[in-house]
Amino acid sequence: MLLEIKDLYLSYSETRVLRGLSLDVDSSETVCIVGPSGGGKSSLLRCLNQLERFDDGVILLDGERIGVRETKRGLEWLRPHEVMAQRRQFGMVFQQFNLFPHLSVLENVAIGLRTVKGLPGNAARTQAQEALALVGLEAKKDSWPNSLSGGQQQRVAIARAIAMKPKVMLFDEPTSALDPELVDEVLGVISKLSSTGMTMLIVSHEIRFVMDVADKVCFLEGGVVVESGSPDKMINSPEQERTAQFLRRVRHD
Amino acid sequence: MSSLLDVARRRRVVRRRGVPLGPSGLKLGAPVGTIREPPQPMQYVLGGVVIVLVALATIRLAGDRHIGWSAFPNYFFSKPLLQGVETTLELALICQVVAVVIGAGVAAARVSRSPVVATLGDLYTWIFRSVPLLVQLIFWFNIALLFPSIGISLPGLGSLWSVPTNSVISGFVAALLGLALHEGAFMAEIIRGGILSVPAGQKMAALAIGMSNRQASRYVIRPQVLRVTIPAMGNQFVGLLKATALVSVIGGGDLLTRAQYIYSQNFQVVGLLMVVTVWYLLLVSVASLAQRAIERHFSNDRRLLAQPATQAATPSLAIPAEV
Ligand SMILES: Nc1ncnc2c1ncn2[C@@H]1O[C@H](COP(=O)(O)OP(=O)(O)O)[C@@H](O)[C@H]1O
Ligand SMILES: [Mg+2]
Repeated sequence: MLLEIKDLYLSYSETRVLRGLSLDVDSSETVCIVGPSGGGKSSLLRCLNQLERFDDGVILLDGERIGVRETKRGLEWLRPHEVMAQRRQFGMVFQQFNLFPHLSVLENVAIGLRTVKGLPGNAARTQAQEALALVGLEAKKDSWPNSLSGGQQQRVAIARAIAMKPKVMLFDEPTSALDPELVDEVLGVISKLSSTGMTMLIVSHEIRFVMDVADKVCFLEGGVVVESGSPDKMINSPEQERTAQFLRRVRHD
Repeated sequence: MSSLLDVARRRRVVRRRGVPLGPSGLKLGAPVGTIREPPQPMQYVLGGVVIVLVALATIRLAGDRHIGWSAFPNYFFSKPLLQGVETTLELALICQVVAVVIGAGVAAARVSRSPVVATLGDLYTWIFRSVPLLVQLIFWFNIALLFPSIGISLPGLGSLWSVPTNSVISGFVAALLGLALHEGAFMAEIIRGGILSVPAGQKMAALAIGMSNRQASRYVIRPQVLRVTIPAMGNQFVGLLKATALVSVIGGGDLLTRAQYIYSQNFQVVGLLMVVTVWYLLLVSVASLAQRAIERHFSNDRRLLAQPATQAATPSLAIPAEV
């Protein structure tokens, strides 16, 4: 297993969000997460790349413990530079794109290569262009983010994440903020990346896309994975009544 | 006046003949700008009245011997007043720079995660924004009454270095302190507003590609804060330039201080005040023009235009921005 999540717990002051969540992602696998709003999907992704600190549980990436270290005195949070090093193993694509509006499209992708990987300007720009080519937006490299359509912005955001060459890509509802006619271009890019063998964890409610791209579908509700399995099994013969209900509903939307 | 010119220009527009009519009777294909406003006769009346009033006022003032126009050739470029202009500009420029530095620090403190640091920032803003500038200036000028000497002393070693406060706090230094500390509180507010205007998703995105907090501030947050705050900072500078006149009460050596010194000896009060007034008009006009240019530069910045609504709607997470 490339990524193992065991018994993960997370609370925000009063609200218990993750309640013993377990989930595995194999190398080159595409795992899709579906589930009702407020179920903890975004929180899970934020725990994985440590934008949020979990309360309990184990996350292993390539066998390495994420976020904490075992010492003689017990568990200890990692230091900031160690957190950053682990975070680089994950690429994240947000629902709201979050492109940097003060930087050109090319610079949006190149800035991480320059500042985080320390590449010189030329090398960073070359690699950034390669990443843009993968999402089909090389021609837009000198545009400003705000002059692009939502679908194009999200593709730039994908390029920005994959340019860092992470081990696992995390997508948090990548098409939820898009107009319906722009959804397909983004899903198309993600499908293409999935077929190149990139390891991905995708939160999405586009059921046809999920059926098409997922090796495994997880139904997440109330902070736990209620059920998981192949897309075919999840859609056609789910074991849990809740899974069946939820999938019936999103399929008819 | 400009509306008078506008009306005249529009009247001069000649309609082209032979342009085809559309179904509604409007001419099709008329060159842009050939459709006129309806005539506005009141504009001529108003313009006439204004011209007459301005002419009367000019005649009245030009012939007034109380104003003492003779002060202009004698004093406008006189050495003391030019020194005053220099001091005024120095005060405004130095204070602006110091205030931006203070403001950035205080603003960063106020959005800090640490409650102690945030409270210190709040306290600074509260005090220096609440006490009138005039009071602060007089206070700094008289600080020697509170601390007769300043210096460094270590417990056990006694006093290492010490000077009388009055030898350090001249009118100019007191003016610098008062203006910069006061201005710093306002800058802090402007910069804090700028920081809060950057969506939380920006910092998350920066961290997610592996940047440190410091890198996220430097490459992502700070440039965006600068872009939104620079016009407001320009506006503050114009205000600061005028506020320097207050330092005349503590003999700050600025334009007004020097003029007051001269008219206390020759009693050409109105004449020198007029000279000072024209100087301020000049200085503030130049500053305003510069401010306008800077504002235009930043408002034309396409990167700032049409921030997509989706970015502003990013839910705020418990990750405060740092500058
Ligand atoms: N930063 C936060 N502070 C407090 N509560 C939060 C925060 N983020 C999410 N929550 C709460 O945690 C729950 C799960 O949220 P989230 O992980 O966003 O779910 P999902 O992505 O599945 O819709 C929700 O009830 C939400 O209100
Ligand atoms: Mg979510």
